[in-house]
Amino acid sequence: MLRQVALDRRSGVMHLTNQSAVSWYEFVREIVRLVGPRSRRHGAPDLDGRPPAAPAGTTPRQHVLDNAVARMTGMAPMRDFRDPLAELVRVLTA
Amino acid sequence: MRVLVTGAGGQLGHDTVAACERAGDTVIAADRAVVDVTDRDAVLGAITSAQPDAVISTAPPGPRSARARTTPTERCCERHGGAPRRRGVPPRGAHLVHVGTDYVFDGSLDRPYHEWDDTNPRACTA
Repeated sequence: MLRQVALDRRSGVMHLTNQSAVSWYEFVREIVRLVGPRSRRHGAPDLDGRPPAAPAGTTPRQHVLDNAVARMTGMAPMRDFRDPLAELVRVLTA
Repeated sequence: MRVLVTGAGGQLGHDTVAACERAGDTVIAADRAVVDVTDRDAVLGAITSAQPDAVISTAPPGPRSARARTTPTERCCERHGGAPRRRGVPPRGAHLVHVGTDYVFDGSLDRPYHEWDDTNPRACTA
């Protein structure tokens, strides 16, 4: 997608995200589902729903992006996040 | 296309390099050891020597104050166009694609954010 934006010499601000909104919790649940019986669960620190890398109080409550400019200018939408996530899990667990 | 990818040592940069190479591009993959994107001279040197058609900036430029509207990479692309100026030859104009962050929004809206929504980061953003 980034390459296509460069090739087309598109300008301005553009949101480019995979399809389907998902919370961090749902995202992790999907990873666990994909990994299946091989997954091991460890006690998690109390992150209060925050991604671990973010300093306290800086994560937006919700930050779903609408790919409005891409859609309006005819760019094909990116895939549903579950597809590349499944590919990544396959690579990492191979 | 001749493309310079900064942040090539990271996940996004690595995948961007791979995608460009699959497409047959000439790729200059620059990780932090090659180009420190917070160093204007380093960025200028990389763009001048590589003379790319495009710069894909995947490296986080580090915390940016509210007053800093551009990064060294952005300023170098604007000023130098990816090629040294020669007598009688206009600069070639490398196209810059810079990857930002959705943390520029404060998360107060109850709908997905559009590109034209007001930003209000809760902390310094990359």
